[in-house]
Amino acid sequence: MVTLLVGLLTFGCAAAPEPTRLEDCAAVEDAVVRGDCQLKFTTPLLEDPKALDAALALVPEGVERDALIARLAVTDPRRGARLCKAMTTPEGQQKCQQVLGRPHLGAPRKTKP
Amino acid sequence: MRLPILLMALWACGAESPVDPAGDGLRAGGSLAACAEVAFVELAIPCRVGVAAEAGKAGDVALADEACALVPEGLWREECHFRAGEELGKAGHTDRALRFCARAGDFARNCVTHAAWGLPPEPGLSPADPTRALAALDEQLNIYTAGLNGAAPGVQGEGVDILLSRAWFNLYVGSGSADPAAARGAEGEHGPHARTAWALEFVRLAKLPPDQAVPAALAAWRGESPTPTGAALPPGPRVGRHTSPIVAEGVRAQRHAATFGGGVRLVGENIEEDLTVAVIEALFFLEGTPPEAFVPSQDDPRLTVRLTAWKLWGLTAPPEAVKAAITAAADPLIAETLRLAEGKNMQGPKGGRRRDAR
Repeated sequence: MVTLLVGLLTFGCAAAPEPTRLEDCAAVEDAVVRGDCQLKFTTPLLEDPKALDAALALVPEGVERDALIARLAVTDPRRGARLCKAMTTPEGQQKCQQVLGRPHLGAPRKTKP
Repeated sequence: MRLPILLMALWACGAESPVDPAGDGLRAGGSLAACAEVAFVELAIPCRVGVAAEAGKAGDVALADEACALVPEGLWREECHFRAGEELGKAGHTDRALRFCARAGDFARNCVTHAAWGLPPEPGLSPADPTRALAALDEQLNIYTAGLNGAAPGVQGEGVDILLSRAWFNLYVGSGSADPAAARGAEGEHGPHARTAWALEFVRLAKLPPDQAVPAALAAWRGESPTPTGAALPPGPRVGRHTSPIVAEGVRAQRHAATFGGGVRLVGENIEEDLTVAVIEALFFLEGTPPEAFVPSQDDPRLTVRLTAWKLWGLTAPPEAVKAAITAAADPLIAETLRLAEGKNMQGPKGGRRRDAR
């Protein structure tokens, strides 16, 4: 009986379908897993600003989207200032002003990153 | 035996993430403990950089060091050292600031510039006491050199240049005294910076028409006429017009000295020539000086004076006039200087930079 219960629970935990596109991330209940899901689908778009803008438009405005943008800006600081313009929350904008949007971060690197 | 297994399975399934990891991550700061709680590793980085900056502000080198050590190597760690360094500089902890700047990699020059131009004046120093001023500035030079020891190639020399520029600026500008004794006593690396700073205060206090500024400054320097005095500026920012470096390829090997806020000026071949360049640069620093003020020096036989005048005219004249002058310039060095100045023209779309220094 217990074995069956454990099996069911384990199956239940693992059975959530794996998101295959950014839109699917919204259905992920766990906020951290959801954030990681959004990052996974947007990071490859960093080289394509138009596609990235379109993808970010799929995430509702707010702290969750700003956190995603901030994580992208940390991943690719050269685009930090541009990404910061899309921030809409006071906490996101403050992070940009203090750290992520500093202009020298966008300059080409002389040494290896 | 069975109950714990069941409870574990229930716990594993129901293990909860923070309710608002995004908001928590964006708002986190103030302590390394708070940064450690951030669920997204990427957001822990700006959190730690922020802690290092705050620690720098408070002069807490150990905490700044600890925070930066937790940031991954590369760009973000360099940025962390940069933030801590500039804040330590603003707080007046020059030696500690420079140790951070030396580790700021690609950002070392920016770090030194920010730290230097944020340095507060040394209390009790005045041009009226040249012996004490010169001794203190010499000591500063040793601190700068030691602090930047181990920085990337070129950073130490350039950094010391920027810091000396600031130290002399702090001594003279806004002091209410254009007594040249301290500047006249400045030797070696100090010389050009001493003359830059003295010229700034002379021009501010003399309030002469631009065409009279150079001869009057030379006469005052030589002791042939009294030096102007006036009210000291209240503590706080010293505001001035300035620009980032403009150096034509043909004069790259020529000696330059750091100027207000990250710029550079040419250094003359001898003291009088250098003073002339310094006074023309000082006229530019005064917001109201019109471009016509630089025209008489454009035909000066001395290259450093001539090029400085063209550079400053190119920065302040109407963009269409600058464009026409580039086309008409017979001297390729002047044409190149004008082209570089045109990109930073203060009447142009970018409007140049008129930042405060503290």
